[in-house]
Amino acid sequence: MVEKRVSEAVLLKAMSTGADYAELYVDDTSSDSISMIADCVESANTSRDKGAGVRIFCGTNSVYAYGNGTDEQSLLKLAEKVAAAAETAKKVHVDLVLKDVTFEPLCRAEIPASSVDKKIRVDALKQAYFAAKEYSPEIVQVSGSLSSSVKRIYVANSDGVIGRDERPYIRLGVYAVASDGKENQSGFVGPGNSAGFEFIKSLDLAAQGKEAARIATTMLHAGKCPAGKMAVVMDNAFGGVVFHEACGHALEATSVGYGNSVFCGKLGQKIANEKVSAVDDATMKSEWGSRAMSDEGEKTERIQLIKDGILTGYMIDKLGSRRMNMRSTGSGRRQNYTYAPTSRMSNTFICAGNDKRDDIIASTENGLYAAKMGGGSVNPLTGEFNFAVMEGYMIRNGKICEPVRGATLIGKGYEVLLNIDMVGDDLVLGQGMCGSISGSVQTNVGQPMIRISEITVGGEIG
Amino acid sequence: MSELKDFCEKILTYAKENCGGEFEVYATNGESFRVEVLDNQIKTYSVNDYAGISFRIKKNGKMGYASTTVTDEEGIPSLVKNANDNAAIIENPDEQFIFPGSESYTQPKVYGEELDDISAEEKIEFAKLLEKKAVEADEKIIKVETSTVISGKKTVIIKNSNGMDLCETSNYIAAYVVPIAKDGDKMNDGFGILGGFDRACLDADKAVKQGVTEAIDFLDAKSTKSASMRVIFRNNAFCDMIETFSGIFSSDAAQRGLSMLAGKEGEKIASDCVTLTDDSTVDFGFGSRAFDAEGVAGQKTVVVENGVLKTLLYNLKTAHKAGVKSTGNASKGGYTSPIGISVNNFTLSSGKKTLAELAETMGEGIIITEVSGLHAGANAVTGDFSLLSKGYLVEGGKKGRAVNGVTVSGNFYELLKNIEETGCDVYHNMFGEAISSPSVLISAPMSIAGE
Repeated sequence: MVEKRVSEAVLLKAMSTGADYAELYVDDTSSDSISMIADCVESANTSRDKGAGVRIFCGTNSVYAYGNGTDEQSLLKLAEKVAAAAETAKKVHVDLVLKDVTFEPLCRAEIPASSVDKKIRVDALKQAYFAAKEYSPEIVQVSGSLSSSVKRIYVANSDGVIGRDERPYIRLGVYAVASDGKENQSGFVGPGNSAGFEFIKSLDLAAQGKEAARIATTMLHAGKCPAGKMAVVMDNAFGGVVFHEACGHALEATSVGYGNSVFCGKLGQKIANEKVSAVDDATMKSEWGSRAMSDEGEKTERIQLIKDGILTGYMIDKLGSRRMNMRSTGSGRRQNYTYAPTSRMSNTFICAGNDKRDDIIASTENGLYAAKMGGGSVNPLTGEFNFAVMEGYMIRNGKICEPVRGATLIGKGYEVLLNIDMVGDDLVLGQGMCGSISGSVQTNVGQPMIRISEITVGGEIG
Repeated sequence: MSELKDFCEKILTYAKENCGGEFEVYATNGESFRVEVLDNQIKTYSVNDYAGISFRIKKNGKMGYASTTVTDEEGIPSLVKNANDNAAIIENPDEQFIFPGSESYTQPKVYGEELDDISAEEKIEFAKLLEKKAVEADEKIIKVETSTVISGKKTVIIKNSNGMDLCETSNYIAAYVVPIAKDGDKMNDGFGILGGFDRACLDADKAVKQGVTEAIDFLDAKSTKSASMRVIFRNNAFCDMIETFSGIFSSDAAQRGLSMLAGKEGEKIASDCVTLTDDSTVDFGFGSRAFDAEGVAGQKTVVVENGVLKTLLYNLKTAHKAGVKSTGNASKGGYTSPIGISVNNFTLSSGKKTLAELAETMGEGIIITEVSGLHAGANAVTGDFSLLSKGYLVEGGKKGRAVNGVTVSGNFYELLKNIEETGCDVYHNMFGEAISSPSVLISAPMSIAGE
């Protein structure tokens, strides 16, 4: 996307006022989205977003500038802007030799979504949509979307690396609303992958639509969740959002590197029940959160975060690496050129254990079974998190009983990790978008079925 | 900016020459600045400019969209073709509009000339000052997590084949500080924020006091026993609640069965003391603008008056469907987004009492000062919420100990009916939607889940 000669000139200019690292980043994203509501195609949008960012480091401080122009003149102007803002004024002699580094792609679109006739894409969306709509007369509204994009990335940095990556994404979303005329309840499914249209072809589209509708109608007939402390069995897949929020964010250099995490200085220490092992793995083929190259031009890795309850690793980007005096784990990510990169999760999950699903439920006398989780958030400093239960059921005498709604799980990450006392053998990943200081990025959460011996459930006071 | 206008003109000319139908260009460009300070040094610094162009075409009654950030002429044919292709698959039968323009426009003040004189150095110094003041405010404050100043300038241009030619430029400055308090092994952070359109808004002491108080007060905060109790939402927390649920006033949501307010215009939906007004015409409101995303002139709209729903919020499409006029609430999430509906400056009417007086009226209960996890724990369609909260217990009418780790749950539609009294302490939301709200006292007890 950029000539080597131009990249060199930009990096040298950016470092001309004393910066000790410079990076040029260009991305060019083409996206397509089709959305349905009220039984018809409501909107369709095609967009192209291209821009560039130049970043420099002066020790552990950073300066960033971005713009939409990607021609030589515009890029040099960005370099001038960052150089002007560098606090040191000393001239440093810089030897810069840029070399192309090849990153073997992990994710390929076998059938690029944009090559598929829009009518065929609409038909696929309709299959899922109408399966939800026709599930029950109680389903009063459905909205659906099919979005796809291809992001092309170019990175050149003063470590001498020129790297390129191409990332296809595709995702289906079905949101169903059930109503009895007095109250509404909703259900959602959103399967996605870093792949092409072949992923949509591999899905049972009707089953996806029905699942969204099933959750909505089940919740319409659910009573309110009782509040208080109780045991919670959390199912696999998107249940992993608990780990993502409660622990994952506090293991990112963004918080650890500034001493703002409860897990600072705890490497080698026990932070979780010994049944818990967890990883962040960007190297999985075609997964939603995968990529071969970090957004800082480094090879990505599988990072063992927790091994048998012991803290073994953090997710670290280049700037975090400087602050922490630890090597970067290739965790630098950003939504696009409008954000400077920082340490982010990719595919982050609790590894499979040895407990059986049936045993986990059967051994829980009383509690809440969280079948499907909604989203959540966390304060990494205090570890306080919250997240919503989209589909929940009470457990009594080791049996799953009536559905309940309106439950929220709240607690502190480090407490919950110690309270995970059963870990199932059925690991599944679930797709989400994670928002943080470097924007919104594709992340997989995941886990097998787990049990938390005690956690505060927010709901209705009886 | 004139370059962007010229480019918009070129797109319209190309479309005129190469395809039929009505069409419109919505373009935005601007600058943004951000500096974050730590230990009296610049931690991150960012200075940017951006431009984005959205093109839409109405063909056979259907509207197709395409957008781009690449402003070279070679890109124009594919931009127009993409919008055309998208129009061809639209099925929605609702009448769509490329608007020729309102009869007249009133320009509220949205540009603070004084901000042009504040240099980058001054902004950096201000961020350093915020940090210094926060750390010196109390011995328990060990550092700040961030001390940040942001500012920006944005221009919106709408031009179309029916003669519309509009342009508006706005700017802002804001700053926030996150002090961290420590006592033994306990740590806690607070959040102080300021913002506006002139130098006078840069009141470091006010933001520092807000952040430091919160950081220290909640160091010793504990959960409380689960109970059903009376609640006051402090002004900022109720702003967040209104923002989360403001979509229920959208006619689009109502027409799609996604708001329980559908068909309730003219009915009582809230208690007597609730009056909600949307007004894009006020000077220096964060949601002020001369025209909305479809080019409809801004106006003042009373949405709820003394508890009665007077009107929902409309854009051209939903207004046509309902047989009413647009209320000037068409919006775009970003330049690429299709037209939706959102509030401009949305304000809950204030009463007479201070927060302390409201607490006295309540007697026993809890003041909620912060709700979090709104994107997950609140369902805008159902009105249900269950939110992680912080606050203070109220005993004998007096503010008591700090509480955290509790959730407050209920339903927003019910909450509107149960507002007993609103305070006199109006807070203006600075990020997200421009919501203003005083503190509110809720009449019926609510579920507070803790230990």
